[in-house]
Amino acid sequence: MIFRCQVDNQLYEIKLEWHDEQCHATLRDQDFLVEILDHRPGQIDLRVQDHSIRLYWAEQNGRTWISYKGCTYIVDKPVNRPSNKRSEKSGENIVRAPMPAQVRAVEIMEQAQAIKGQTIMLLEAMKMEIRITAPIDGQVTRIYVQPGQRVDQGQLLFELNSSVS
Amino acid sequence: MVDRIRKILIANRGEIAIRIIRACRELGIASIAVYSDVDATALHVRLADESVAIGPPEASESYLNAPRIIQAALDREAQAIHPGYGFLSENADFADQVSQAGLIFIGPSADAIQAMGNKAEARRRVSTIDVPVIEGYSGQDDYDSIQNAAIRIGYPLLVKAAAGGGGKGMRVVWESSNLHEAIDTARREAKHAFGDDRLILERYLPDAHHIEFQVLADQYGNFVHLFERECSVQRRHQKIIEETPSPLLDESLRSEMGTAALNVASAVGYTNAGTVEFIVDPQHRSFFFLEMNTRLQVEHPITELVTGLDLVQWQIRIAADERLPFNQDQLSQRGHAIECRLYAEDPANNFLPASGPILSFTEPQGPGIRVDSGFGSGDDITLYYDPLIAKVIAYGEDRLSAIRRLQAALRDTVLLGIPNNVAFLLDILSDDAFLQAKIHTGWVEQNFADWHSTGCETPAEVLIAAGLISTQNNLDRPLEQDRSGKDPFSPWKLPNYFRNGVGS
Repeated sequence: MIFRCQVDNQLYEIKLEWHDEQCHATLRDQDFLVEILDHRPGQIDLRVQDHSIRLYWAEQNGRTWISYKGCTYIVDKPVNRPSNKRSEKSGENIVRAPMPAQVRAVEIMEQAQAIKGQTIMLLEAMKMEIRITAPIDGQVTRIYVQPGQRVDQGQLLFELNSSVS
Repeated sequence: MVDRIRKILIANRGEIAIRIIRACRELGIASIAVYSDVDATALHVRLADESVAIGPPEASESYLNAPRIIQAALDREAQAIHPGYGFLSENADFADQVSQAGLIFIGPSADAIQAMGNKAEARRRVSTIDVPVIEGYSGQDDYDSIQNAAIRIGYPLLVKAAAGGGGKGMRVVWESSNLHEAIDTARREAKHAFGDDRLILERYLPDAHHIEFQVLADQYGNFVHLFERECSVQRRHQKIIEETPSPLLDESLRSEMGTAALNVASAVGYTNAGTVEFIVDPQHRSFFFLEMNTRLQVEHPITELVTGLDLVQWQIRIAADERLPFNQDQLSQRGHAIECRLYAEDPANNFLPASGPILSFTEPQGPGIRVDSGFGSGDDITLYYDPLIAKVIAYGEDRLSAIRRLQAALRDTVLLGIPNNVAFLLDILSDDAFLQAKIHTGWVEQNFADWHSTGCETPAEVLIAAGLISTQNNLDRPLEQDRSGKDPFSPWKLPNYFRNGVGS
């Protein structure tokens, strides 16, 4: 079988062929002889080309987290190539919450002009204050949240229009 | 032995609650956990002998809800309350209310907390005894007064919450143009974290060491110190790595500072465990009193490892009126201990706290390794509280062997599902300057400011394992074929063996 995955935005393709208890894995024209030594939920011990190794893993929402020799890797299913259609809201004009947090204060009104680096809002998480600043000079066209509101990571906070001079 | 105390309510959560539960067990004392709504099935609740719900997730409604916690202790017939660190641990009113309710507060007297808890008051008290205090200002804290004091002290300086701790409500100011904003931010954080927005100023020594002394005092006037902890490896004023002995101190400076720590403690009639913090100027080998923490510290385990004493047990025994059976001359440091803090925070996202489920947590083990953790596989880290997941502590015969042990332990730590700082800690621990102990409180920020994980090529082994895991999870054709294979003991034939029990 062919297994495709994505780690750190890099696509990989592995061919796995079983012969009794052994598996031949092929990755980028390189062959590996693999044997499963032990396995239990969240743990797999392998022998790969004569080297015994232990990996820990967990899964959530289609992602597999793998820990190997002190490093953690997040293995995702390959995503389809993004469409060429330019996303309607690109880049730095929109600002999203960097983490789940509570909005403590919004320090600007809609339609106001903001300069790059100006504090637009204050978020709070775990008693730390997080200052959200304007990434560019521009007009604040839209504010999506209000003080006291809880926001998720990646949630839209506000939008700037850079074309205003 | 500790007849006066048969049951303790622990007014805390996470690793420190569990640490206290363990001490209770060893002393034959029952433990009561308290929990907020999001912590109903938390590890500290599962491990305690009893548990009591105390309110909504917001700390102000639960872990800071003094009347509710005291009532819970009375209802469950506890004799004492252990506050842990953070939350109500340095709240003099709480200590007072606990005593008023006829319960024992496991910590110093409300008066001592009052005297030391407020940094402005502590500075005043300590400046009257023969202990040097860092230059600073603790008067009126309106803009004008602070500005004038800042001109007198000079930059850089530190704006600090008078009631503060743990790096909250604290800002370094390098030039006068940033003072105003630092005051505003520090005040807001202080108000929110401690319900007290008073500020003080301190001269900031960028290349200084942060070295603290553990003290222990019984209720009969016996004071000892348990030597120092070197806490200079900090990020945003949060300690990341602590060790003891400090590579900076020699015997004479150690003894001088230890005596100063005892003088500070006895000046306020201190009882129980406490920590006197100093700033040490390595050039002049001079030290200044910074503050006293009137509680157990996060980093107390390293002191336990080199002195052989159990600090939490001694807190309880002192509270139960026992006398310290040893004096200063009978105490010594043996070997070297080092601790690092595993935080749920995302190094790729400016180290912001992370929340979510821990899909898998395997703690390191082995000779000289101790792990104090508050969570296990399947537990949630919420954004309501501190993002500390666990402390990994290593003990060795000398500094280098302790560091090597800690490095190996971190490489053996499996923490999946939540962003964390393990890779960052490993990079610090293997840095040449750290290995040579050339560190100071500004060192991490100066050298690791734009740290990011060295993105290495994904090893073939990981991809192969991912392929094997995925194959088996999908239970598709290859498995069916294999199930009919010759070997009846083939692992692939066991139904469901490869499901992850967590979160699926």
